[in-house]
Amino acid sequence: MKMEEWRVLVESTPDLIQTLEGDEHSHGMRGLARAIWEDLGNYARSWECGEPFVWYNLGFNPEIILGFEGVERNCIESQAVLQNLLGDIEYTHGFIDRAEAAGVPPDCCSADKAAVGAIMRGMYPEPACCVGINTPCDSQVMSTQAMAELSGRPLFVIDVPYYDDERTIRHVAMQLFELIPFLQKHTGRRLEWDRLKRACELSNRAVEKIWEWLDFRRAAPLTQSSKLVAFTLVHQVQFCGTQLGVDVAEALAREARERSERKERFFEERVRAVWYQDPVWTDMQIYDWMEHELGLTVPVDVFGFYANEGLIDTSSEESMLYGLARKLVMCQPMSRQFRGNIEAYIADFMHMHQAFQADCAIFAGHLACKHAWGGIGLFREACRKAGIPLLVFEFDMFDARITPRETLQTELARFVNEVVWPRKQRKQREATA
Amino acid sequence: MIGAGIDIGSTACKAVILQENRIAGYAIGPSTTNPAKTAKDIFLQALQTAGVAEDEVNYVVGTGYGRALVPFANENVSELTCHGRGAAFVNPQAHTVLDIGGQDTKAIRIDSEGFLEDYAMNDKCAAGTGRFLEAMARTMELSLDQMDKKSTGAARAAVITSMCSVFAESEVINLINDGVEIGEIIKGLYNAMAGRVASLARRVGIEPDVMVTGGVAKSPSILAALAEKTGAELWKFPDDLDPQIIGALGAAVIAAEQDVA
Repeated sequence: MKMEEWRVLVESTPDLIQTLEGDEHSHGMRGLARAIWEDLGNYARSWECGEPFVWYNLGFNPEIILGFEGVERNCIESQAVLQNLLGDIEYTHGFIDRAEAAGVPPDCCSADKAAVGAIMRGMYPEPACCVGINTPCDSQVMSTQAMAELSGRPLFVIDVPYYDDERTIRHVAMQLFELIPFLQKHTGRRLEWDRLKRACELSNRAVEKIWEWLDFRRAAPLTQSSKLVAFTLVHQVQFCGTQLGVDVAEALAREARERSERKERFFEERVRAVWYQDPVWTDMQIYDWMEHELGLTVPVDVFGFYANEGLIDTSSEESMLYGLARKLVMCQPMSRQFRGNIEAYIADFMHMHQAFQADCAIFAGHLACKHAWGGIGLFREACRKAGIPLLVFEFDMFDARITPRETLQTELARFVNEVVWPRKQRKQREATA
Repeated sequence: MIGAGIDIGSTACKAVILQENRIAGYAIGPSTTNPAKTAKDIFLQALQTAGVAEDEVNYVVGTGYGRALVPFANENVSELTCHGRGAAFVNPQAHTVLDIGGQDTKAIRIDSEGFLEDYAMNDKCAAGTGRFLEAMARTMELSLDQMDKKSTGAARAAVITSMCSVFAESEVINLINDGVEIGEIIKGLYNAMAGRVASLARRVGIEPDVMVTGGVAKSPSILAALAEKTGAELWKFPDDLDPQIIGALGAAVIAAEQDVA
């Protein structure tokens, strides 16, 4: 971990933890920062010790890798997230530019471009093998191929079909069954079913805590920071199946419970939005700005809501594989939303809108998310029929150069101040009249 | 209660005086490089047409791109909100407002009180705006009025494939060089522009009555193209009401609501 990019992360994370220590009530953020720090430490130790690494792309839930003692997991998109959250966003831009210069099309997802760029830069330890999923987008397919070609190591691709029925989940479960000998062969380690069971149990505990946490976020007004909800994606991809994941989920739930009991409000909530698409990873402070300047809160986003469907039955080896397959199909980022028809995506939104007492929807349109943009007309129509104000804007979740912060602020302010807030005020007046 | 609305747009400045819930007077003039002076001049002209003295006005609301530069305004309100309120004031049945301004085009869906339900804006380039027409008029060495008249008699419309002002200009020059009749080219330009505005309108949902506002709405040929492209019957403005003042009117409506008397 001698590269400059890693050095920045290793130096900045303790600083963040130190800063958060000053706020005794911020258990969630502090828990997350500590978990990242500990995870980075484990990662560095495994790298130094020459442990076998398994690379995988966004969308694969890594509990099965945790069933192998001494095998370390590596999500190839992790550098983009870590640099944007803790390091230097310019490094993410550097990874993106490197990938584009090598021929990756600019209209691919920046998460995947950054992943390819990070691999090319040599950011990750060489893998024993790679695991990819082929859903749902062209960018994921590109990064899956790139990680195999650039690493020169064997690749196992999990095919996730279009549907989300029983047959689909069994199809994926069978592939997970086939993945086991593949991983054993290339890592030189054996799957220990007891270890896998332990990972699944930890995963379940985290899921239950996340669900408990989200229950607190249904209440209005919101007593916790909006941006925390974006981290459920990090939690799901990086920490599921680990004690760290349980710790983070418990910290989030504890913070929500305590703030709720104290009826704490550190911003004046005027309107609540379901953030329906990708978080603004390039500028997480924009959530603070939204709360303080617009009174806009985000109790839930599209990736944070599927935790309850991630429970794994640990009663047998078959049931665990089936549960992991179900989680991959139904809970992982994008597989749930964009693998099949858009109606499921819209139905999920309508449910969230009601459950979290939202006043509006914000479709933060990540430029490369072609499947999301492909359904925007139907989504817009559904919102119109339901009388839900909808803001649609373009941005890139990992590339700050695409849409400046000021443009995002203008869009958000215009929407809240001219559509949502006047409408809510009028409803309140009518209710009290 | 007398309220005044000043709409400083990119090409024109509009002022409306609203007295006892009726339009007492209004004025329209070109925008200049001194927005504060322009606003004052147009405001004074509007007061004159209304027969109202400046100190009789209770509240002034500024809107439009230059709204922050109206020093005598009590408040600034965005043009989206003002167009919605202005449209509902003249026609409470209006639910879709298409404002084709000099610099941008807005499609707004409103409820019966003029509150915004949805909006879409084309404010990134000149395509589908008055500026686009001005550029084309310049290319053809015609005034906007002359363009409108020439298109009326055209038997068919030339096909203009580009909405980018720069590329469309090249296309127009090529068509002229190919000997295509000028009226047909203009009709093609109007169709291209109407197509652009219609696609914006479809984003918010076209719900009658559909009202077209802004300076471009004074062109019957463009209105005809828009009606065809949107598939909607466009609400007809009364002869004594200028579609260009709807933003300023909305500002005046908001001004007149203020409890400052």
